[in-house]
Amino acid sequence: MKKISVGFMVAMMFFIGGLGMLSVAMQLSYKSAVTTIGGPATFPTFVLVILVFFSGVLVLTEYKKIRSGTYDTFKYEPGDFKRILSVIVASFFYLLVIEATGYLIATFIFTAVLMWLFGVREKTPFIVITVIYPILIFFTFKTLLNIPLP
Amino acid sequence: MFTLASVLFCFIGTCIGIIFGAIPGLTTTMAIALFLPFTFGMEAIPAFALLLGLYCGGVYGGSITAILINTPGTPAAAATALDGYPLARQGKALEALSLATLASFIGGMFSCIVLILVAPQLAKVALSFGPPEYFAISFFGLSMVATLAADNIVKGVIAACFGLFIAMIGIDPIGGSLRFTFGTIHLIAGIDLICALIGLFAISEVFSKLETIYRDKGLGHMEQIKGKFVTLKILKANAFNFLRSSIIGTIIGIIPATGVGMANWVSYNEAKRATRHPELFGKGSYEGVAASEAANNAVTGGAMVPLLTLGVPGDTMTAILLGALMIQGLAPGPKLFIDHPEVVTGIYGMLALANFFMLAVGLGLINLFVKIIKVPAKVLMPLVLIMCFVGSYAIQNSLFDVYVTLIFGIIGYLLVKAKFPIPPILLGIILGPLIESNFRRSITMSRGDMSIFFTRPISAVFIGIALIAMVAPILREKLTAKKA
Repeated sequence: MKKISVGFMVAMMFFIGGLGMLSVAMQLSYKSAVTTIGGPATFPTFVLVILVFFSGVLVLTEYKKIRSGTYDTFKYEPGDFKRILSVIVASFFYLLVIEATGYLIATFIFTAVLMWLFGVREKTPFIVITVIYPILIFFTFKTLLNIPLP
Repeated sequence: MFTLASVLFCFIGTCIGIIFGAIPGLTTTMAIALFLPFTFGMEAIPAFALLLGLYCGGVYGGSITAILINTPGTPAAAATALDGYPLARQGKALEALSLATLASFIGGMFSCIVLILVAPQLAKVALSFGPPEYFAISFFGLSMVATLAADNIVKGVIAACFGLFIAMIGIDPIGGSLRFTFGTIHLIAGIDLICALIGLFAISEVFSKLETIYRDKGLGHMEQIKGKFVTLKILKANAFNFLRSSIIGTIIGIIPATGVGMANWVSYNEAKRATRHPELFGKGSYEGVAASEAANNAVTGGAMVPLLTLGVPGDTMTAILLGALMIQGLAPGPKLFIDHPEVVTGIYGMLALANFFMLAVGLGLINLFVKIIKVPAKVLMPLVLIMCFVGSYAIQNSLFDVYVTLIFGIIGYLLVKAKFPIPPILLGIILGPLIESNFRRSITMSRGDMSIFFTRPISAVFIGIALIAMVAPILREKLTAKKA
C-alpha cells in the first residue's frame, strides 16, 4: 500500500467537508423572531467556522510532517487491509440481501462469511455458531422483546 | 421497583458486563451500546437495571484479566495489574481477586450512597438554573472531554465540532426548520444517536480488531486461581484505604471528562504516598489492588450525579445512559426528580443491586467467568458485528439506520487510525441540541446581547473554566517549545 498520511487525509476531509457544510449553513436564516442573530443558521455557522479553522490548522501541521517525513501512514500487515475491506463490502451486501431474503437467510450466509473472514476454520464452532446465533438473535428480538426483524 | 424482571435484567447485565470488561478488546462502552437496543421495548426501570448492571460489571470486570494475565480488560484496571498480577504469581490469585471484588463493591456502594444523598440537593439548586447556565454547563462538559480525551487538543476540538454538526442534521430544535437534510426524508429526524454510538464504539472496534486477529495468540498464559480468600485482617488494614479511594473515585466521577481511567491511577498513587510500605507497590501490594479497584467502581455513582441532576454526562458510558433516558421519553435534569421520582429511585436501587450482584458473582462464579473469557476474539467479533446491525435496525425498523451505523463504523475506524478521540464526537451529538437550544434561548432572553453568558456568575465561571481548559494546553505547549 502506498504511504498515505492518514492524519493529512482526515484533516483534509474535515476541512473540505466543513467548508461545504458552512456554505450550506450560510444559506439558512440568521434572524429569529426576536433577534438578528438567534436564527437556525447562527449555531451551525459558529460550530463550522471553528471546525474549518482547526482542521485548517491540522492540515498545515500534517503537511509540515509530510515535508519532514515524520507522518503516520496506514500501516497494515500483508492481507489485513484486504480483510477489512472484505468485511465492509460483505456488510453492504448483507444489507442489500436482507431486503430481498429477509433476516434469517441473509444472516445465516453473513455469519458464515464473517466467521470465515475472521479466520474461524474449526468445523464445530463454525457450524454451530452459524446456525444457532441468527436463530437466537431472531428469537430474542422477535419473541422475547417484541421487536420485529426484516 | 424490585420486580422480578428488573432483578433478572440487573443480574444478566452484571454478568455480561463482567465478561465484556474482562476480555481485552471488548469494552464496557461497547457492551452498553450493543445492549441498548434490547431496552427499546422495556419500561424505564428494567431497562436501567440491564444498563447499570453492564456499567458496574464492566468497570469491575477489567480486574480479572489484570490480575490473572497482567493485561487489564479495561483502562479502569490498568493500575490493578501492577500489584494484582504479582500477587497471582505468588500463588495468591484468589486473594487478589476477592480483594478486588470487595474493594469494587465498597467503592461502588459508597458512590451510590453519595449519589442518593447529593443528587436531590444538587437537583434543587439546578432548578433555579436558566438557559445561560445550562448552556455554560453543557459547553463546559463538552470542552473538558474535547481537551482531556485527546493527546492533541486540535483533534479534540475538531471531534467535538463534528459531533455538534451531526446533532444539527434534521429539524432545528427551536424554529423547526430543516437543516442539512439535502432533500432526504430519512434525515428529517436527524442522525439517530444509537446508530452513531454503535458505529463509532462497536463497529470501528471490530474493524480495528481485524487488523490483529490473525496474529492474536489469545489471552496467553493465565495464572491459576489458587490460594485462599482475602482475610479479615487485610480488609481491616485497608479500611482507611477503601474510604480514601472511594472518595477519590466518587469526586473524579462527578468531574466531567475524567472517569475510571484517571480514578484508578490517582487513587493508586495516593495509596502509595500514604502507605508505610511503599516498597511493596508494584511487587504485590494489597493496598495497591484495593485502592485502584475501590476508586474505579466509585466512579460509577459519582458519574451519575451530573447525569441525573443536570442532564450532562461526564464520559461516554454515562452519555449512553443519557441516551437511554431519552429513549424512554424522560428528560434528564432536575425536573426528572419532580416528574418521575420513581425512575430516579429505581436508578438508585438498581445501581446498588448491580453492586451486590457484582460482589456475589465476583466471589462465587469467578471460575466460570475465567472459562468464558477464554473464547477467542475471532469467534466473538463476528457475533458483535451482527448484533450491531440487528440492534441498529431495531431502533426504528429501518435499514437506513443500519447503513448509517455501518458508515459511522467506517468513519470511527478512520478517525481512530488518525488518532482522533471518539468520546468528544459522542458528547457533541448528545449535548448538541442542549447547547444550541439554550444558546438561542439565552440570546432571545437578552435580545441578542452576548454578555448574558458572562454577567451571570454560574455561567461565567463554567465558561471561564472551559476556555482556560482549552487555551492552557496550547499555551503550555508553546512555552515548552520556546524553552526547548
